[in-house]
Amino acid sequence: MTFNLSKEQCYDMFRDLLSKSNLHHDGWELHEFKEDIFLSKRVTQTVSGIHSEDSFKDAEIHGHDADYKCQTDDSCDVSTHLDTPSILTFHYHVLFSESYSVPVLYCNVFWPSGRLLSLEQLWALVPEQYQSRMRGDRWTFLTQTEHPYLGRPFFQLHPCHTSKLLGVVSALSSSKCSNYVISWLSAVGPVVRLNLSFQYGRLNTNQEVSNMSTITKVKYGSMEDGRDIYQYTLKNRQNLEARIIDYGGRITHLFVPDQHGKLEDIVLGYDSYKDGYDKDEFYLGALIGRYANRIAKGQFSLDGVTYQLGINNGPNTNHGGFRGFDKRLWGSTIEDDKLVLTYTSADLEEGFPGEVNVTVTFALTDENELVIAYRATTTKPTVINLTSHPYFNLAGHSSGDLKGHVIRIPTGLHTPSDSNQIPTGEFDEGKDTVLDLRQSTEISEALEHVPRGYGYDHNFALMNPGIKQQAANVRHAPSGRVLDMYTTEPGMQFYTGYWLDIPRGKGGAHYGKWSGFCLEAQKYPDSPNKPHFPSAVIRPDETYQQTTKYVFSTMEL
Amino acid sequence: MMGDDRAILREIWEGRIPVCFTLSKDEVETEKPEPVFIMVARQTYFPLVTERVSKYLAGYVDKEKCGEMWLDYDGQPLKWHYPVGVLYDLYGNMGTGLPWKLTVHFQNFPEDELLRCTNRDVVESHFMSVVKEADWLKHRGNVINGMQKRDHKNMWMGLVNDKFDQFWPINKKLMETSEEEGFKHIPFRIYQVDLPVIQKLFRPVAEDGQQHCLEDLLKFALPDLDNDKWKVLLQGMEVPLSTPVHWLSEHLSYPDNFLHICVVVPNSGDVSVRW
Repeated sequence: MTFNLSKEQCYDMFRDLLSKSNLHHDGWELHEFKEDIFLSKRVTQTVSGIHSEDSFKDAEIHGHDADYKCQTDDSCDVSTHLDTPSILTFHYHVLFSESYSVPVLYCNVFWPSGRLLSLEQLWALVPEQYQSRMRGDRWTFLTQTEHPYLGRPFFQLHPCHTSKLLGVVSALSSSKCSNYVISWLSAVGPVVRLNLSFQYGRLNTNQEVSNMSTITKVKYGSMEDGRDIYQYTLKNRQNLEARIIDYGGRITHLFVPDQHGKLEDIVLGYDSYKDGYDKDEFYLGALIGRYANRIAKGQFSLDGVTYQLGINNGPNTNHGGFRGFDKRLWGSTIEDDKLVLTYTSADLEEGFPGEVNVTVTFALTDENELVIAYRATTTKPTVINLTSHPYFNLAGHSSGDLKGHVIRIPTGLHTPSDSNQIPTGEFDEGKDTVLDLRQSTEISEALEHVPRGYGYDHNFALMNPGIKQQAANVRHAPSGRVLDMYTTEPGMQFYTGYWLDIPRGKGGAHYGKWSGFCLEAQKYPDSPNKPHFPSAVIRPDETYQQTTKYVFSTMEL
Repeated sequence: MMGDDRAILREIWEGRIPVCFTLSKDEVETEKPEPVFIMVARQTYFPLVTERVSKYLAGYVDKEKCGEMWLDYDGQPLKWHYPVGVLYDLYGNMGTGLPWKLTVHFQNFPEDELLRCTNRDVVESHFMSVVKEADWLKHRGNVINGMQKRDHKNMWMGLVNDKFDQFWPINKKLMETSEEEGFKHIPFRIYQVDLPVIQKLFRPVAEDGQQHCLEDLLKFALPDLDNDKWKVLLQGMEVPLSTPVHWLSEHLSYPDNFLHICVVVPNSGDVSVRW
């Protein structure tokens, strides 16, 4: 779906934007260039989190980036530079491109001295969610080019995707007289910190903004002992919708738009508690604990004491034992627009020492991020490793296979395991095999080549965990859906659902082998028995904390 | 494609300009370096061929002040994002003889005139975006978007490595037309010293079905142009004004698929020469 404007239509919209700007003194100006017109605006903004001009100027002359220089110069204080706010002047120009039949946004950003920010410096200003989406497209998304009218260097948001974006905008628009330039600029401007006031939209439609972030609670079912189960629906302004029940903290639905804006539920699940969640053996959408993944022989030692856990997976313990966190009814409250689940796990529950108090918070942002934040404290030294176990299928939960899914996991390392899925303690980069996922890999084609024949069920060692570090990227070209995962955890289990066998999932869907995939943020499997693995121990004076983000977007082009 | 036309493509591809690179006197630190002489392809971009020149001459400059390299000709900073042949036709063809004498700088980068070019990726990004724009003009973007990334990379590497036989099999698709219709619009840019570049929508065929020629294009884009006072250079040549623009677009475009037309003041006693 593409959409093009004629020059006359576009210029009419420029004039309309100008008149709205004049109404509330937003500072846009209209300029003539021969027979053409373009819009311009200057804004001064204070920006934090960017290196000062002097730091960059010095680095630039030496041909190094500032980070490199800071590594070699002890006198350089990175944190001081990062915290210093800079007053920058932004010049924005909106022109019409005859070649592409769409509007194009140009900008330049200046230091107080009048010097131009470079592309690298400008990239540092781009809000994180756009950077992560466009990292692979960096050289074609935002580039320095010659201004068509002024003949001077300007940065340009490349117009080749605008036609498609305008198509989406026009299709979603309920008004017949929309100003597509305003809609488009509202969508792309934030990339370079140009934020149109909501006043523009209000003047156009005379309506209140109809899409608001919401969270609603409904009764979902009852436990055998009569306690009620509730379902919470989180919905953001982009119509992304997540439904979560307080039984097991399970994500039951996740409606994500495709590149045409069509919503589809992309997580595997059951129709109701009694239709499957009560007997579930596959951890569909569940919170997992106390210890996600396996502990060898269900045994570990801590401070000289050996603990024995229930054996529920071959000779080992998996996912917290017979009745892990996935089978518990959590306490649930709404705080602001977040869902907060709480659970107190008694001392020696499933064999684990210490009374553990757990809080898990689900939030859905307007940047289409599902953010899961975990906290836990204990009364005695114990081990803890929490995660979430949604099975995704970007083609839709009932798709039945993983065709068309392409995954990339930037780390090259995984932890090989024995025939019972217990790590050997080694690290392997799987070079030249299907276990090296640093290059984009079509999942369904690779499955048959994974050793042992079960597909992927591997812990990947994340090199620099942190909420800004991308752990995985999965894209599904037929729908255009993209899933990026970020986490503070040192490991991520990538599991392609070999053991799935659910005859009646949601809406009667059958979930068989390789019909969904999981990306589970975690400590490494069997860490309590592997001293050289990242520690899973917490003590009474410590707090376990984890944040993991699933970020949804769509492919362009 | 006829054999003779292919010979034209090959000859355009192999056009060269002898260039002499001299370090700016203001920037020489102690010892003055020897000038560097290179035969530079008209179709390429300066950053792709000056990497070794830059390393060599940078050795003679104060390390503390050495920044990004840039070039000027007779005081005019040269926009690296124009193909070399375009820069020469526009500025160098002024009758001061050959080689074309350029001054190399490592200080005081004129950031209000020149685009930064920190590595080859920047050139590639620029080149591919121009090719993409050209295809939007010709085919509504359908050919370039239908190609695989591998094909884009082969085009680029063909240009970088000066390999006609790597570049043209891919580029041929971008020059294709169906029997019923030619290019939708002709990708062209017209350059004049110290004036904005002219780029407009221009169809290869008139409404009556007649083929447009170069003269029609010039009258459309530069209605006030006096042919007796200006010289029109395309790939360094004064092309007959009666030449059909569609044919020109297929054969005399630069690798970025644009016709870069330079309108310059003729030299007194000028003899048309080709490089």
